[in-house]
Amino acid sequence: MTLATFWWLPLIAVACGSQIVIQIALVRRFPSRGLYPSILAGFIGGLAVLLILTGIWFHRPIAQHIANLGIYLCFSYTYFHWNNMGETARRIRLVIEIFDHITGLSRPEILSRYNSREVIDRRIHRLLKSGQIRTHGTRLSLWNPSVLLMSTVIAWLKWTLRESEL
Amino acid sequence: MLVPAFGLLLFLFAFALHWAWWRWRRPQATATSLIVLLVITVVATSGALMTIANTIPGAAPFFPAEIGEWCQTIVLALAISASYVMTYPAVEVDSPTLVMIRLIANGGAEGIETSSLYQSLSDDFLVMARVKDLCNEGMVFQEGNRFVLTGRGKRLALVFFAWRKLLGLGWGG
Repeated sequence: MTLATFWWLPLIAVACGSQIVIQIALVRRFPSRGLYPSILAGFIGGLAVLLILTGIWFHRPIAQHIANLGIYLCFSYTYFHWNNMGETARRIRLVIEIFDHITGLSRPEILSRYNSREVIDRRIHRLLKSGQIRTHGTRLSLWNPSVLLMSTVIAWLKWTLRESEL
Repeated sequence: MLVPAFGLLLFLFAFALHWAWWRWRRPQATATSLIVLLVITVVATSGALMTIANTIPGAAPFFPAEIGEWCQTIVLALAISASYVMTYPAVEVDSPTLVMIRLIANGGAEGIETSSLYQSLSDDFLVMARVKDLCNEGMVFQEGNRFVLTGRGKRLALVFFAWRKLLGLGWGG
């Protein structure tokens, strides 16, 4: 066994680390722009680092470079969801609300702090901001079908795992 | 192309076991069960394949060559697994965003009244169902009519407290 066979490890570690550092630095420097632009910038920055390092180590097998790219893309997707959990996950929000109360919270107390109205309003705001839907008067309509496509894929996965009917 | 191919195959094998298990009997603590299943399957299957590659004469050229390549294969399979684990909550529970998009899409070009979303999506569906999930995952327990965090729930809250503080952001949801 030789450490040289682990040449790919520092490449992927530096690329993923760069993504995290860039994202955190940007969201702290420009908090008013929100979380998502910093995630995108972190992804692009980390990818640039990976491509530069790949160029330096280009004499190594191409299949391992492809594997490194796959690892980076999966890491980026996971990191996006990790950040998104803090931003949108209802379970995380509930855990944090209950955390503040040593004796716990009753149902009315939970719903006075976090309820369906807030969940819906936050999502309408995000969908409008990201251009997924548009508003005309008091009505909402679909503008970009990409989330609808995602919804169809998820519905299929639910069905195949017997989580629900199609 | 052995490393990316084996990484993908290892994940697909673990996914097949997950599919079979869930079709047979869905576990209570789904997130924990899924993570444990994927990690153990990927690592154990790699170990078995490494043994086959090293013991069966003539098999070696069809498998990743060195320990470094095997480790990269495992990391790739675990990275794909992590991506799936992060997607799974949307499969397990109805994502409010996806439900809202479906309701809005069903309204066609005219769309729907915003107020109809408030009528369709109740507190029980959007909030209390998630409290029940937290109970099933061992993050929260019920004491009388009150919901209290367990040790695991407290640790999860502390991790997100720390992360959101690091980012300099407030609470989402």
